[in-house]
Amino acid sequence: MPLLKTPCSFRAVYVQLETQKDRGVNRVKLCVNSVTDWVADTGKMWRDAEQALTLMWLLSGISYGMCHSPPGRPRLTTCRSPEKETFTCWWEPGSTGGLPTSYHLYYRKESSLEVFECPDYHKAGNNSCYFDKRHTSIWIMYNITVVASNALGKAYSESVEIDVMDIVRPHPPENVSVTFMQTTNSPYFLVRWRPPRNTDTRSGWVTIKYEVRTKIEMSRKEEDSNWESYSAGKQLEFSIYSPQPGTNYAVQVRCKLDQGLWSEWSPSAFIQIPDNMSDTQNVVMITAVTLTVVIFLLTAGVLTVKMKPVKHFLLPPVPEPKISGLDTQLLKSGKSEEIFSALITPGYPQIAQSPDRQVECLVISDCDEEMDFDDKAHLENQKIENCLIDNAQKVSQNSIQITLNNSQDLNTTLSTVSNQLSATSSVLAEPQQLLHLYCNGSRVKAQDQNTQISYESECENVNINPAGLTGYVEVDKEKQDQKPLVGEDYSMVSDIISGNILVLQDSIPAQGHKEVKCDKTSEAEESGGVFEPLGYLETLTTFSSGS
Amino acid sequence: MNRVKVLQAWLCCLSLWPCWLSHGVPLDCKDEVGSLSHCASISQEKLLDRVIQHAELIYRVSEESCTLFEEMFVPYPLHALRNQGGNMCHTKPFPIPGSKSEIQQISDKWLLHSVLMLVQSWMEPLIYLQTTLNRYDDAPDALLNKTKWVSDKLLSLEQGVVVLIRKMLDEGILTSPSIFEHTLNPYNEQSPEVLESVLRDYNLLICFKKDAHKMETFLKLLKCRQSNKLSCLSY
Repeated sequence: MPLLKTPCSFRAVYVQLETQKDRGVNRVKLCVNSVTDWVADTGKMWRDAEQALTLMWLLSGISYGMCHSPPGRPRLTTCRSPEKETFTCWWEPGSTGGLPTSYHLYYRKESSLEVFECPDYHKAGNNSCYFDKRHTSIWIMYNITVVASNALGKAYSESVEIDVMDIVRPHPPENVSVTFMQTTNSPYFLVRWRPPRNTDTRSGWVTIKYEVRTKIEMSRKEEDSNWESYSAGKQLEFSIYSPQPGTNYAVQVRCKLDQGLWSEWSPSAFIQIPDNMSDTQNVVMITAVTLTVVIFLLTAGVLTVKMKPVKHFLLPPVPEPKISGLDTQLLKSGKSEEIFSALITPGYPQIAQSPDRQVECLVISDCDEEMDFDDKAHLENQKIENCLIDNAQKVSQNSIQITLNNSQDLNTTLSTVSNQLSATSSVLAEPQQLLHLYCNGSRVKAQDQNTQISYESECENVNINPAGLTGYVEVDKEKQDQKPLVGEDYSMVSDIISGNILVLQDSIPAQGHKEVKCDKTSEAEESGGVFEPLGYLETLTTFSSGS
Repeated sequence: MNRVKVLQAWLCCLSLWPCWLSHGVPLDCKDEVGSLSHCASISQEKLLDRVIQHAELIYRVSEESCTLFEEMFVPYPLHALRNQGGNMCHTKPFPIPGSKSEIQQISDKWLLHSVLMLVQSWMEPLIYLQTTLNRYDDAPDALLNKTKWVSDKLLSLEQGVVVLIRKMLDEGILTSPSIFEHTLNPYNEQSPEVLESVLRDYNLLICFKKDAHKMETFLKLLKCRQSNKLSCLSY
């Protein structure tokens, strides 16, 4: 190739190799000075350019092959202390510069200027420096620098200041094992491990803390389930309860010293949870549920069928105040007749005492003197009716008519009647039915008009159940000697006052009416509050004797 | 009547006599580290546990304060450069052991005294730190609260250590840190440059963190020694 012959030549050709700060990227800068006058035809120019380029390429090739350069700067990557007693630092080398390069680590302690070199380059592998116990001080700043040197020069890394306290990161725990413990009610699996090697966790130099995490290994799904973490404190075992049956678990443990960094996770330990554990539980559950359902259905059936008796059995009805004979259902139905008929029942004793009591006018007539007394009986009836009407506001048919047909001793009759009446003394306030007592022959018949219930008995034992008896009649036997009332001529009775007093019309027309009030009260007092009919009788008798 | 009254008063006083006795000698001790009264009932072990809890807590809070301060005020590139400014942690009157082997050679007595000295040396600087942090424009409340809290806890820690010394070593200690007054001077200067003062405060926080860790470690080693001497020295 002929040499370049140009009218002008290159003033200078600058080739610069510039090493950028981003470590050894070689840039070739070609700086070409301009030529003052370069006029050429295209062909010639091209040929010249070609030649120039080839020359330059040759030059750079040669320099590259022949030139060595100082090494690039190394860089400290990490330092780590696994147990707070020793530590290791690693670095990353820069470019070698083509020559064999050696690396040295130098350090200075906090307060002194004395420089030391790394005690052990090999224990921790390539590009590392291991500081053993003798060379490690805690709570002191180390100023560490790595120097790369080759024949052409040295390169210093950036200095790093570390305190061992801050770079503590332990090894992972060892011998992680998992066993499945099947107790009857609460199955669990037990994770056990050993502390990381060479770590002094017993003297109190460091406080260790563990963490366990588990994951269900699912082969069918693509997506993995998440890890679940548990904090385990200082202990060397951990129990995880209620694992899912039939699954495969992976377990990992890691640890931390003081407030330092967490170690890496230990390699996984696997465990398969058996399936049969669930079956027994399921069988028990199913039988229990079925039994409960069956019992429930039975109970429901029984209840629906026998609602009321069961209800009465379980919740006995509270006894309400009830009037026997008074049926609330009848009241609701609203039939008054039935109500009242239902009220009248045998053995119904209750007759309320009313303040404005009705005086029962007891009329006893002798049957032998029936002929004479027929009109008297009528009169008596009438009088009784009047008497009663005057007495009470209510229409009452309270009368008991006892007609004796035979000539029995009135005394005994009266006494028995009175005995019976007193025995059954009760007063009703309501208007009652008329009970007629007939003593035909030796029988006394009482007949209830409405209900047609008849009571038959001997004359001697007259059972009177008067519905309308307001009181009892005491017949004083002494007074029997006197002329009984029945002998009295009732035609003389003109008026009855307040039910107790009979106003008798004097047979002597000249006398006219006599009122008979005052004595009655005195008589009543004398007899000690004996019931009015007695007084009434006495009054009558006295007056009958008087008049 | 007067006689009766006098008799009653005398009987009253007599019945209250046991109360006076108990007032003089506290029968039920409060189980506290900070209590200075001579409590016969609290065990040394429990006291030591309490002191260790205090120290652990102080260390943790100091670490948090450091991180907070770093995030807020220290520019990122300077995170790694901690002692670049030439500021170092203040020196102690007597050297503190720096490695495990050294510490294992120290007696119990020196361990306790080292802890006490550390605690006492930080009383004043923490107070200074509180005042200086208040001057920052946007110091987070958490940081201010933490430094205040640590300052208080340090006082109770000191009291606990004093009681421990008295119990374990049968020594009486004065709690006045008179030897540390000269260390106040460097902190009273206020540097006009913001970055410098920031770095100085940062350095202070880091130093405190370190010393807190020292205290915690010493106390834990001491505890191990108290419980079982053989296994502690085996390593």
